[in-house]
Amino acid sequence: MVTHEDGIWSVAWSKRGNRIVTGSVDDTIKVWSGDSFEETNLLEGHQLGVLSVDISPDGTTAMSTSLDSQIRFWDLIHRAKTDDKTIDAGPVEAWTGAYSPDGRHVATGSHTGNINIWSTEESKKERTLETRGKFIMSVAYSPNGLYVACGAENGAVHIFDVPTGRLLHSLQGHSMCVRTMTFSPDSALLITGSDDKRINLYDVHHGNCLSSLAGHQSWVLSLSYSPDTTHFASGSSDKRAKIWDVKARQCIHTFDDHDDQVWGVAYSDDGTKLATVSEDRSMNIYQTG
Amino acid sequence: MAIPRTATIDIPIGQIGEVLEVSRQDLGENEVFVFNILNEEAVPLWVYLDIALEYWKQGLERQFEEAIRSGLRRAKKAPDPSEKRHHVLLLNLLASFFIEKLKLNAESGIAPDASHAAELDATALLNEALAMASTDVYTIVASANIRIARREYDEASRAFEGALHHGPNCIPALLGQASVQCALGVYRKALEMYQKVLRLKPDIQPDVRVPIGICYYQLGAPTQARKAFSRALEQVRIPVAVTAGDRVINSHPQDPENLDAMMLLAIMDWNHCRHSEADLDVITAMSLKSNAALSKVYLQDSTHPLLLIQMAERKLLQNDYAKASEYADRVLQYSNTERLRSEALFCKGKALQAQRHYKDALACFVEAGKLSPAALPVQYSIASLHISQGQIELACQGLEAILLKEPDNVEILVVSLAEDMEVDASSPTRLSFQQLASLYAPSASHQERATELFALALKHESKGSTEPGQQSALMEDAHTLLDMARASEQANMKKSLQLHVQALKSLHEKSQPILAELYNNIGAMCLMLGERDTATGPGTVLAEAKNYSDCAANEDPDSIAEAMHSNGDGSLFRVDLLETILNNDTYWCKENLLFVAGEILNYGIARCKEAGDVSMQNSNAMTKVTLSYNMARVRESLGHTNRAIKLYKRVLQEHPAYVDSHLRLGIIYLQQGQFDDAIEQFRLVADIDPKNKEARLHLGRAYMMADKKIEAKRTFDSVLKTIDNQNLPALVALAHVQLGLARAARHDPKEREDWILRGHRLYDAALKADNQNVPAAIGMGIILAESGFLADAKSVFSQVEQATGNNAAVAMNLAHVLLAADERDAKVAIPLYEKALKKGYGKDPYVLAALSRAYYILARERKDDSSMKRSLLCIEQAVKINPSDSAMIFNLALVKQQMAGVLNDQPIEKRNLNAMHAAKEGIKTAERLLIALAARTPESRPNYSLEHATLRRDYCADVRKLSEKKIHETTTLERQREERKEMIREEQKAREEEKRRKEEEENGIRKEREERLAIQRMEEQARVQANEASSQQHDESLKEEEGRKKPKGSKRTREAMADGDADGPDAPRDGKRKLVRKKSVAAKGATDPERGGRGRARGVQSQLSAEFILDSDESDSADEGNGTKQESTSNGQSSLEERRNSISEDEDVRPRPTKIKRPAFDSDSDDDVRDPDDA
Repeated sequence: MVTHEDGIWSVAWSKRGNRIVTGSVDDTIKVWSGDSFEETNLLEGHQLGVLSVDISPDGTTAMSTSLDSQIRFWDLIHRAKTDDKTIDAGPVEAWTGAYSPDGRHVATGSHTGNINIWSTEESKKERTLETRGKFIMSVAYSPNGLYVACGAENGAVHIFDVPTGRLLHSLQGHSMCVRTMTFSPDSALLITGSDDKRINLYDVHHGNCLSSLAGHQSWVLSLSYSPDTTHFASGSSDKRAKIWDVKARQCIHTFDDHDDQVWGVAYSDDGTKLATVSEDRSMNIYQTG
Repeated sequence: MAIPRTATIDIPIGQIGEVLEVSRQDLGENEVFVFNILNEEAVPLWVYLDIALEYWKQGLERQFEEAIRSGLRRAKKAPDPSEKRHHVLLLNLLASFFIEKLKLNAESGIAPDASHAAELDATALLNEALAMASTDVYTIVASANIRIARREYDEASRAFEGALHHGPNCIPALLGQASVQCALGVYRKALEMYQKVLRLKPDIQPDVRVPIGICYYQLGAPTQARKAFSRALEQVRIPVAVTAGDRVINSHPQDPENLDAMMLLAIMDWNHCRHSEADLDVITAMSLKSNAALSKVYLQDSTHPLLLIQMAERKLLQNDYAKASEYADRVLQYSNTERLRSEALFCKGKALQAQRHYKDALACFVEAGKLSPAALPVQYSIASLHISQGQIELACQGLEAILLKEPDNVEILVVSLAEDMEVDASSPTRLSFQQLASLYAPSASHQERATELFALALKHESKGSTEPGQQSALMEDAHTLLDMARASEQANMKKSLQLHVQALKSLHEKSQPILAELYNNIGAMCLMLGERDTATGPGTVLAEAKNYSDCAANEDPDSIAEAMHSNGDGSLFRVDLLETILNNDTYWCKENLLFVAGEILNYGIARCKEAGDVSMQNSNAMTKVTLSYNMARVRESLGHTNRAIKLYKRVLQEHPAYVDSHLRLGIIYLQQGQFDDAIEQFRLVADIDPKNKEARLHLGRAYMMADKKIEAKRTFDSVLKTIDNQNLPALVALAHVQLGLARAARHDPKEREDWILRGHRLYDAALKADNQNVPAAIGMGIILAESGFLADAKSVFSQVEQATGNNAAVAMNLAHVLLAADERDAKVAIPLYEKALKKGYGKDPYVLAALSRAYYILARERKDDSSMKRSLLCIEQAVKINPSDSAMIFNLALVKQQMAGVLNDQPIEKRNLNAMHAAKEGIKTAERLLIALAARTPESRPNYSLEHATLRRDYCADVRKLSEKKIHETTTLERQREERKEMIREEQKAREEEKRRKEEEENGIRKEREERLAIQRMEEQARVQANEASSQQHDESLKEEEGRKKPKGSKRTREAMADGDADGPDAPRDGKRKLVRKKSVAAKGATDPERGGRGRARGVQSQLSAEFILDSDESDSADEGNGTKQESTSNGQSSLEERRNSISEDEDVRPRPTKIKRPAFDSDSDDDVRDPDDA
């Protein structure tokens, strides 16, 4: 279904409340019902394209990062104005963002190679985790809240220990820009997608690469782990989305419906549906379970 | 010539009729006496003749010669016209004697001098005879015989012709002519002659029925031939004296039983039973019969050459080579007939060949070929020997000659050769076709010819197979199929694949061992077809194939292969599948092909392993490596890169010098951006094989991609110097490198100039070598653009664009040049950029930025906010893809800021308040971005100008103020407009109210006064009209008022600007207004004395489009910030000119770098990457 006036760059599916949030290059964010797939809300406020959206674990708030360098928060329940919470992060200081599992923090990657962790309550930067590396393209919190991982422009992947802020692992394996990453629901695995067309599986604890999956013909742009832990989905600029079997390390299905690169994929909370969004302005919902 | 045969010869002496009787029996003993008489008495010449003949019959050659000579002497001494006939006869006789001697000499191998002397003697005698009686038939015949002896058949035939002309029924002439025709191979004519002879003289000796039989046989009428031979045997023979000259082939007149006939009959029987499909009994009977005949002949004449030949051939067939060559030798010893000799030589050659004495065999064959140049089997054998000795060229020539001789009449050839030569029914011609084609197949230049030949062979084969019982052996011969497949590999790969599969099937059916190479070839072919564009059409992907290509297949391929092997019961794996794909177009697509390729290769590997267990052959190991390599190619094609890398590495483990594996690995690394690894691989190859162009070119490219220009240059240089100084790719690549160096040397004009010149030379050379070389043309265009010849560059790019149509790089560069030449061309450039994006730079932020810039220029020119929006969108996409480029962010802020600017510049009535408000908000964002950008430390080496960012940041406030003002203005205007509209609306409402009221009143009146209805209605209408007119009038007056206000409004603006001018901070607005008409500003700017003071602000403003940063990978933008100069060209680039003034006026004037990306080197190299195909 065509949902935005321009390419959609990000999608998130709430863990509670069954909502889908999409962010587009047309500066808007839209909220959709996870049952009827009707638009329930149009959120305006960003001045430039929305780079990433995430929904807090309690499903009440959404956060978004945008090219206009702001981190904005949106109240999904009351639809009240939350402009006062907006964080001005500075240009490309907040590229993509992710909620911590407790919902109290948001981690964003910056051009200096740092992960900035912002407090959602006070709307200010709490601390910075430094990689001394390149531009951080993607960040992910582990569901158990212990780790935060980031992927850099040059393909480096770093995992930090959240409580201590210590760098646990620097993972090699990708040679090009890591645009997306996500932890498995049990926090044991980290999967990363890169411009080198591959998806790598890492053992978070030991920091070694378990497998490297090829199958996409172009950059891997987004990943989403199914809540049942057995599958994950990927979206690529080859216009396809794929579903992979974690154990078999194999692609088990390919969706080939989009006309342009698939910027985002998101599983529903029960893992039965998959939303994909694309530069072609449309969002597709697939039945998976 | 009938001489009365009595017991005695009466020798008349003197003229008186005195007769001396000499007994024929005693002639030998009374030699002296006889010669005395002959010499002393005047004996008539016929006596000499008679006596000579008598001597001849008794085998006394010397006396015979003596008798004739004395006769001749007598004839000369006393020339007598009446005796002339006899004189001639004597001469003939002597000549014939010499000829016979000649023949004998030839047979027994006496020195050629002697035979030559005899020949000369004979010729002299005949000439004498001819001089005496030019029309004497026998003389002519004899002279023809000499010609035969000299092997001048044509002349002999002519001589016989003459003889027949004089005496149409002259038997010797007829026989002679017939034998000449036989020798010339014109059997039909010969047959006619022989038949004539038979009619004239049914009991002639030797029996002409034998030659008749041979003729029939040669003409393909075995029944008649058989009849002729049988008749010859049945005849009761009366021994008749024979003139020596009348001899036909193999005449042995003394034999009471005609051995020739018997022999030939036996041979025929034998051949018959060898080839016939008749039932066994007949065959046995026949062979018995023929054996009996043979033994009979053997008993009678153990040196009969025909028999010997026959025996030799039999021994050959029985593989008793020693015996065969022995017999052949004996034939050579006893026979002087060319054909028999050549056949014997052929036999011997075959025997030697079978015994592997190739050299001797070849010598035999060559000799045989000399003796009978028309015998194709001999030629064929020579050719095949040549082949076995590796002299392919010679063999080809030989075979071609055969084909030239017998291109069409294959049927005759088949029959004659098959029976004559006793070769198998398979025609040598076809074989030669095949062989020749097979020879041609491996050499690429002859492949077309090979295909042609195969087609011919097939045609002949099908002709042959129309005969009952002949199976199309060719189509079942797997090796032929493979040869054919190889031949058509280049021209039609699909066809070739089909043939391969067919061959595989036939091999399998015959349960012959199938080489792993075959699997490899099929797999490789599938792979290549799969990688080709033609195969990527829409097709139904088989479920299995889909699975196969989807799955990363992380399992070990060996285990898969083993599993398959155990399932596949070792038989033909997946051939059915392959055939389905081949025969069904809907399945003809990349995925399926790759899948099948993978399967086949796996199977091949499995087979290799199997074979490897049995014996570790070298070639087998090599095949396995190749198979593995191809397997890796399949994986790579499917996108299973990791798998492919592993496989390549494994190949290298087993075989470290497998160059292709290194190359592919390098290419994969290159694609993944692991330049160092890639370089490592390519260098390895270059070390292994210093002459490998491919590796060096790739190495150079890898260096280029890793931005190691100097190394790249060195590498390309080395390709040109050491390997191939005309190598186009290297030439172009080197030029590219030099172009890159020129760019890098921007700060040193001299060096830059130097590089550009060199690059230009190289491109020129490349284009001269190949004027269709797109990369070179693009490079040339870029060089031109770099040197400032924008018009030339433009024409180059337009040409290339027209020629190629869909080259993204060209489209992009053309757009660049257009924009660089004249910014007003943005409208033209935009579609070009979009095309470039569509065709190949889909995700390239650089092109997106360029497109954004074009839109930006357009938007500023036209005051068009929708273009600006497009520009924003493009730059947003560019940033999204490559966020680490802060220049892009700067551009983003710029566009965002100018959004407001564009809206402000729109004429007031077009303005859209909402958009303006949004733009005003946007300014904030832009400002925020710019503040941050400007705040970055110079040490971080941002690729934009900090100074510009600062200026821009400051300018934001101005724009905002202006925007606010404009918004206010517009708002006021709108409000006023709204108010007015409201007023009018209210007035109108009031009027309508009034009208209605009046109407109501009138209605009341109407009701009251119905009688005055009509008149009143008239009046009423008139009043209504008047009302309307007045309201219109009111409207007009309103409009007028508005019109009056408008100029007032803009005047106000102008005043405000004037204020701004005076105030200073507002100055940019002025500049911007001027920008609307750049040219005039530029002109004015030059003369404006105040310019210096306001220069800076205006500069910032006007350089917008130029400032728009494009080059992301290099320090272009910084460069520009530092003051890249444009020589004040007259093309209206006022913005640049102004900027030059605004920043520093004392710097050197340098050409402005056109912002053109590297030429389409990547896309081009991508194509080349596919080159090291090895299948």
